[in-house]
Amino acid sequence: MNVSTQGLLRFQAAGGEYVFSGHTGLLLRSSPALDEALAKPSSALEEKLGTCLYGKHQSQRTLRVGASKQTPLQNVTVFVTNECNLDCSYCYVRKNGISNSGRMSLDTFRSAMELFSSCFDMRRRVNILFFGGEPFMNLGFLKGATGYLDQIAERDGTQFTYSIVTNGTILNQEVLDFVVRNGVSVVVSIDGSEEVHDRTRPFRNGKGSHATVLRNVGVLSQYCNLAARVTVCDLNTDLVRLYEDLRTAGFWEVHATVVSDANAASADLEPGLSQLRQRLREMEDHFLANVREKRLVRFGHVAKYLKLIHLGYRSGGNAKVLPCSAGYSSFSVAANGDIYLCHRFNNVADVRFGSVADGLNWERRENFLDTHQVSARRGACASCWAAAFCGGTCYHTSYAADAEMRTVNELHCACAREWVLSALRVYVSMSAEERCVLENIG
Amino acid sequence: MKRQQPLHVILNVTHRCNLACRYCYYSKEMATKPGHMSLEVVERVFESISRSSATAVDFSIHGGEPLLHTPSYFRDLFTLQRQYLRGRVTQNSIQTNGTLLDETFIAAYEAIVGADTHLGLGLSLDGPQAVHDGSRRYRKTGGGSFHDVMRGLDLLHRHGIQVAILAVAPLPWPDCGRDLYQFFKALPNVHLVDLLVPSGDSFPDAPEGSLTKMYTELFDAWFFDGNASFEVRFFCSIIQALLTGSGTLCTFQEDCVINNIMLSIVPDGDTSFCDSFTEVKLGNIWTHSVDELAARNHPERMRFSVVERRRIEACLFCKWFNVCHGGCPAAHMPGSRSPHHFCSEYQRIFSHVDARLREIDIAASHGLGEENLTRLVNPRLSDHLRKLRYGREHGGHQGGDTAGGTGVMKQAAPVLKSQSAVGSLSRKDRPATTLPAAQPAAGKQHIGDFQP
Repeated sequence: MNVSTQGLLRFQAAGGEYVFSGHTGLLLRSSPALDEALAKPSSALEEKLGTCLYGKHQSQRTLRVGASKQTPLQNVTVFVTNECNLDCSYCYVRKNGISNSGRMSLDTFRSAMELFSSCFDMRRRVNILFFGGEPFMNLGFLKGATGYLDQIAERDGTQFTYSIVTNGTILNQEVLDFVVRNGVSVVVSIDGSEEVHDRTRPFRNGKGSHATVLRNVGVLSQYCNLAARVTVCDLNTDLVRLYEDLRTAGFWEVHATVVSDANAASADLEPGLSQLRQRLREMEDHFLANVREKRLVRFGHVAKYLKLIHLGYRSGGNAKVLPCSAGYSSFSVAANGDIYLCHRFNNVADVRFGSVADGLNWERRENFLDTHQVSARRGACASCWAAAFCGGTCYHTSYAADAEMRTVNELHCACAREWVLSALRVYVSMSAEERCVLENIG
Repeated sequence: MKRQQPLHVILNVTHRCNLACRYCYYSKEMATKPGHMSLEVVERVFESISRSSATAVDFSIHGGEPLLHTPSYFRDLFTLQRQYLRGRVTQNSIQTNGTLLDETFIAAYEAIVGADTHLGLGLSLDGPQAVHDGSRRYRKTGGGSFHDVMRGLDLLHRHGIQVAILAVAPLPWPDCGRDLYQFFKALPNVHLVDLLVPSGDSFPDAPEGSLTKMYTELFDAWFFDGNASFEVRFFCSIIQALLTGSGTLCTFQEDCVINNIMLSIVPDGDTSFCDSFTEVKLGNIWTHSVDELAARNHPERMRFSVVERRRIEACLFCKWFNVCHGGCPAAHMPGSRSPHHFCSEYQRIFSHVDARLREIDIAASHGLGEENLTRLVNPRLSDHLRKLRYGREHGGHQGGDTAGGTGVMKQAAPVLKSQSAVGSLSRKDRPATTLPAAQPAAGKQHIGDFQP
């Protein structure tokens, strides 16, 4: 049984028992001497143990929000259009009551980029994430936007990279040219097997979209490394099969997230978590079997977590104090020019950080970031052993459950810990030679 | 965005050759499309570059044997280059087998250099006569070319012209490493030796381990030579990669077709991204602009890159990944799970070089710093690394080969990466295996044992 106390995790794997410090990232083999020291630390050991196991407490890891022009802008999510040719069961555009007719104009986009340019440091790499709705339903805008950014890149030296989240149903020569010529990282939303996918992601006429998506993936995957974005609605999903099926279909990597509004604060979480645990154990075995064959399984955050375990927290540099960069170095621009925390909140006034017309609301942004750091979340984050990996649950999962963002979505919190534990178990099962891969992947 | 690194253009000015070398990777292409490149094609290339975003261009005049052209061809070629590309940074090299060097070519060469054109000469010479003539024979007679190459080299020496030697490792003589080094060192006008790894099927009878034996012996002779007179590019690149995380050779570049933009142009103007992959056509110089052909996101480059990622998947588990990044894709044997024909030999060579560096207390954490460079005995190696450091610090054109002309073979500009510890050199910087005194923030995780 895993016992977590004071930010320490004790876990079993690979025939041994280990203690992981969430504070410092240190991994120790369990031993009677360690158990004794942990139970009754003598003053002689106090200092040594204190530094190694407790080092810097989560609550001491805070982010000072920089002033204007000091924060490097990392990502701008552009809500290209609210229009979509699918009718997904969990669509938050529909649930959040976002109108289905908004299309971003090039003028709005240009003004937004000029605003960001005046507010943030854009001398380095900035990613533009095209989102929707289905962004390829507004290809004219996409071409205009990249053409405009080519000019900005020439003028300011900013290096723009592009990514797009698409449902994968729209692909023609013009779309393919756009993707290839702009080196766009394509993320396709797909929910696994035909049976599951067609139930959650049908066309507006009710027909399943799975076959169309797979056909297009076959073409696109010849030109770029595609990522699959899977929304998991059932914690008992066979993850190994899901991953292998998607790899066979042509995907290079697979990201799975538990559906945003799944919250069972009042219900018993354990049966679902128990199923997830079992599925993660299967995935761990699969991962390790592939490692033995010198193949990396690119599933979920496992590789990212393993890297963090391996390289350490780098004096806090890689330890997360926020769940994501939203509001700090990433923003969402809605079709009407409003600027929001992230695309999932494109109509929520509390996290509207300004607009193209009114400029950036610095005070609201700073206030938000100060009150939503992991040490300030309303939950057990401050003493959680996994906090440096998770940074607090996704704001939207909290919002979907509690209509506010400082709380912790308990199901998502429990799932996040399971994912990190899974990575720890894999890590201790890998040999030192095999861990080489963690230094060679980006 | 403006191009950061020089564009590398290989002008295959002829598809004819008076030699028929046993390991020639280009014979099929020459047989399929025989003939010379006209000056009209050359002019079109320069004109298209003049309209492109490329601000710096490295040209390799290649073939076939370029000197089958008359000296006036080269005069005209460089006149056109000056005419179209004035104001851009250009470097040139001619890669020749050396058999046709004569006074009329030397006169043309001196006139071209005298007109302020940077032009290096690369000469193919595999080693002593038995070694060289074993591979490099005349097409018509089958006789060895050694004596004619040495005559050409002597002619260049008498005119004070430095050359870079391009040698393909003679695997049937695995014990010749030291002799090969002494042979090249005895040549008076050599500033660089490029020791190429032959393609996998060139010497089918060479026993396993031949490459390692030859390269490690030659390395030791060169590395510890306080009077070394030339760089060995292969070794310089390995050492550079061990100290900085990335090497110079195009064959060591990760995702070379994307990160090392090259255009290989054949006589009819067809263009590919590498002369080892002429079957992949990016377009033709008459119908496509240089900007189109050199686009990082050209569909053919993207397709190749996707395949490359899969080829080097297992390499991600290798401690030497940062040195070779899977090696040249042309060395991958179809159907093999091994990413590179000489993968295991490469690993042994890298391990040998790494061990030698550690013996003299060179630490990856010091990168190209003087703490490391002053420990090196070989003056050409330390000079090379100093130039490289200068180039990085000042963000200029790369420093390794600027003096005295180059015999550039598909040479890449260095990727400007931040210095990072790599390979086993960084071991000493990692935390101890017992309970460390500090949190592992400073290094890499080692699962510790608690010892009170």
